[in-house]
Amino acid sequence: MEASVRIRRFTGIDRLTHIFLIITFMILAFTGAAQAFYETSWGRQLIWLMGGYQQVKSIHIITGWAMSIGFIVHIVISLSRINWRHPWHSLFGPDSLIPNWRDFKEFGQRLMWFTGLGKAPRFERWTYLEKFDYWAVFWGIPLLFITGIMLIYPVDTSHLLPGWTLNVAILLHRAEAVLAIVYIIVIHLLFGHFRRSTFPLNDTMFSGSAPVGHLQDEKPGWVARLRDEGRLTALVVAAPAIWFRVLYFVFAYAIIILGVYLIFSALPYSNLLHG
Amino acid sequence: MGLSRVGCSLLIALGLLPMLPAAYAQQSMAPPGIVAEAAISRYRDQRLSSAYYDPSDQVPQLRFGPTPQHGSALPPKLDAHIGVKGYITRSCASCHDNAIANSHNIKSNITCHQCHTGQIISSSNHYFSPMNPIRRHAYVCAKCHEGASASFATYVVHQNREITSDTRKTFPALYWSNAFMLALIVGVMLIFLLHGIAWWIREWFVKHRDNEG
Repeated sequence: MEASVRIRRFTGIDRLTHIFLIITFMILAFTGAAQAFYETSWGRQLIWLMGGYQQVKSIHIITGWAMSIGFIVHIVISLSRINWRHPWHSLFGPDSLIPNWRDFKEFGQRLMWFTGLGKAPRFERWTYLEKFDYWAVFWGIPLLFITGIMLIYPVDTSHLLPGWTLNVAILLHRAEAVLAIVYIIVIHLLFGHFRRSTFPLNDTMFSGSAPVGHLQDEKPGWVARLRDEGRLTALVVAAPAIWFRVLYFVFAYAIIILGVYLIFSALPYSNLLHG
Repeated sequence: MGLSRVGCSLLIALGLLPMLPAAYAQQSMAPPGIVAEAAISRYRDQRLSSAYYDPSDQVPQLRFGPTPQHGSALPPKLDAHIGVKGYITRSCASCHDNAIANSHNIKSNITCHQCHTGQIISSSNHYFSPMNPIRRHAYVCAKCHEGASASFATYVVHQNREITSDTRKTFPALYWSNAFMLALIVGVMLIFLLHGIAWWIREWFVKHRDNEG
């Protein structure tokens, strides 16, 4: 099989979910930063650009609801994909995103490879980093959702919890958002796309497929398994149309530029120790 | 000099205190001074209110919350600023410089006096103060936050910086949440930055990826 032949890696619904997550994430990041940096000149510019404080707040709340609903839809879809006839294999097999011992082993192998002390790990379908990126959302969205609901309905919250928990909710909401934004932009976007093997763009999540030669390098274990099971040829897909490639290239770079702009604009006004 | 002035004002305030109940009991009686006179008209509502609690107003209890902000060991003063030099002409922030940076002020342009109302500001643990926890939710918070309860009023408007040792004592839940999140952010970013940099460098020197396996 030629190295440029493309193998399907993500379904249409996964790609759509990812694009939905990107868009809601960026809207939330910018409307959230505008509120958090309200007292600075940059924050006021963002507020002005997005039509005033009340509107920024409304957009933030509506988008937050949209992201949370999307998250629940994703969980329902994921549960429906479990093969209940073979639940163990389905949940803990190599096609599952659930972390297992193999991931820790591969993490150790990769550290050895970084230092030149060992061979690169033969990754299966998902690497430990992909699994971490995936599950980070499961910690982030529930925390942001719960603290967000507390802050949208402070009076009702105070009937269930002491009012001072709102101080804690603001802190957690902001700190978790900072962690998510910094991680996504620095690790997921910059280190994800600007390495030698991925530059200028790792388009797998947008096109849904990757060249088999690239996968042979990145995930030799997966390609070998597909070959052994004779499923490799069934997964061959056509290369994405040129207009589609241009579209997602422009979209991805717009997001990267916006993200880097967000971090570098916020940095001069940030006081890490001030929370 | 400064100490003796504080002592003087304390003495005055303490001296006035025993007189107050008498003044309230017999309103026809001449008030003992300008302070008490203002207090009678100012705090009429509070004096007449029953401090009745709705059962739903009970504050849900949870550990590690803030200690009451004004739990001063000093006896509550009817006029907390008695003896402050040039009080009439000074702004609140000229002394309470940390108090101005709160989200009520920054985001909604709420001024000090919109919450700390009246000609005289009493100690907030003074029985007649609008800021007394028995009524501040109704007298202060509920002006904007409809349905504010006593629990709601435990929100700390003038919040200290999260990371100070003072906050560790006065608001442990906030201090430790901050410490946890800070450790999480620094830990995650440190691990993945080092990992990313090592990965980036290592990949740069890969010549024949197939041979690397």
